[in-house]
Amino acid sequence: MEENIKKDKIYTLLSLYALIIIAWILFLIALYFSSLAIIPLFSEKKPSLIISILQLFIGVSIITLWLIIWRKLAKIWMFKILPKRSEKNGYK
Amino acid sequence: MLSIKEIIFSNTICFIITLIMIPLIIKISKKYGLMGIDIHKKNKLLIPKIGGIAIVFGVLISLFIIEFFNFKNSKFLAFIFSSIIATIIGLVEDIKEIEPRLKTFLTLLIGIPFIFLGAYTPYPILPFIGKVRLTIIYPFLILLAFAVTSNTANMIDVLNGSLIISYLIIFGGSIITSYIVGSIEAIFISTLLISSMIAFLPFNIYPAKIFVGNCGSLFIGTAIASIAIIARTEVSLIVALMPQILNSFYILSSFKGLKSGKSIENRPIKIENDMIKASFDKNAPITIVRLITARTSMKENEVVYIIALLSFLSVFLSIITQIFLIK
Repeated sequence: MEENIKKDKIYTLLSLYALIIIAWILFLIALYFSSLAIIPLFSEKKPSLIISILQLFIGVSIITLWLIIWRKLAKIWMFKILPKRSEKNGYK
Repeated sequence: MLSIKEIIFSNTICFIITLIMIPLIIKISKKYGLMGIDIHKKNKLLIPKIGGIAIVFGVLISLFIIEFFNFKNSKFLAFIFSSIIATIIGLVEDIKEIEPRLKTFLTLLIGIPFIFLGAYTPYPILPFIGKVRLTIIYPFLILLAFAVTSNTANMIDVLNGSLIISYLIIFGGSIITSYIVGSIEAIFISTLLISSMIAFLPFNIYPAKIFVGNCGSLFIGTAIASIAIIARTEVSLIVALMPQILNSFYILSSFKGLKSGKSIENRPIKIENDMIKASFDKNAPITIVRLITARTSMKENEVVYIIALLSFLSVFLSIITQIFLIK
């Protein structure tokens, strides 16, 4: 019994480590692509207004997409990965 | 330029002031009824709830002593003014609850001293890409950063010692990242926070004799944002704060807006015999404590231990981000 509880705690910790590492990698990817979208705004001397707004919109959209994916991942962890098999159907 | 002697001296002062202030604050809190319920305990004890003031006094007085004759440093001045604003907002919230939308708006004001004193460099350094010029957007990002970090610290302060232990690790990491970029001011502020929080920890750890309170949590959140802006380690700070940001983001998205935690019907966790267990209610907010207790019920101090281990990983990732990914 004690052994099982200890195993559950280690499983929880490692699962959450995996979630944080995935979120970190996704964050770096999102930051890279949003920067690529936004950077031309600051290097051009007279950027077109429409193109600037579009670039800014793309940059913000990428970060928003990261947040949405992060939330989806948290739900998967909460209801699929972390609970015991016997408890997975207990959520209502 | 600060010498090692000055840093050691001010840290000792900071530790002693915090230690002296704690019994004083306990007395004041009891006298004026500034007590909070320790909701995760069977006997629902009443605990003094403005303990964070001891941390604020410890850090700000020692900073003031060391910089008394040298207040030309706009970064320290901005940090002091921002800290005072954050502490006042937190203290008002501790005494009389502020409406969540108003509180969020008020926390946007914390960053104003940094903008007015020009204590920032609008060229953040991004992974893979390097330095980017954000002269127009950066001041707005400062306001947002202080609101996010102060509220994030506030939202992780749900268990005895959860805020102090996890932020001790984060400030430890910020010393390393600040050292990498060579910011002595950021290192100094980080060490002061660590000294003060070490003095405070024995009183706040399970079972707590004093709470940090909103005044302390908003101040600690403000300190971490100040360090990132001063040292220009914004990206690595976001990585270091990932478990905390994850927690506040999940809460806000689950609540679908800004609401007081007390007004939520579907509680994320339940307490049985001093053990914390995740709620089976699908509509309850997904918090970090709920995720940790999803598989097995745990004691309060065990949950805090896991939060600390998660912070260790995020701080490690933040150092990797700073060393290897930022040009």
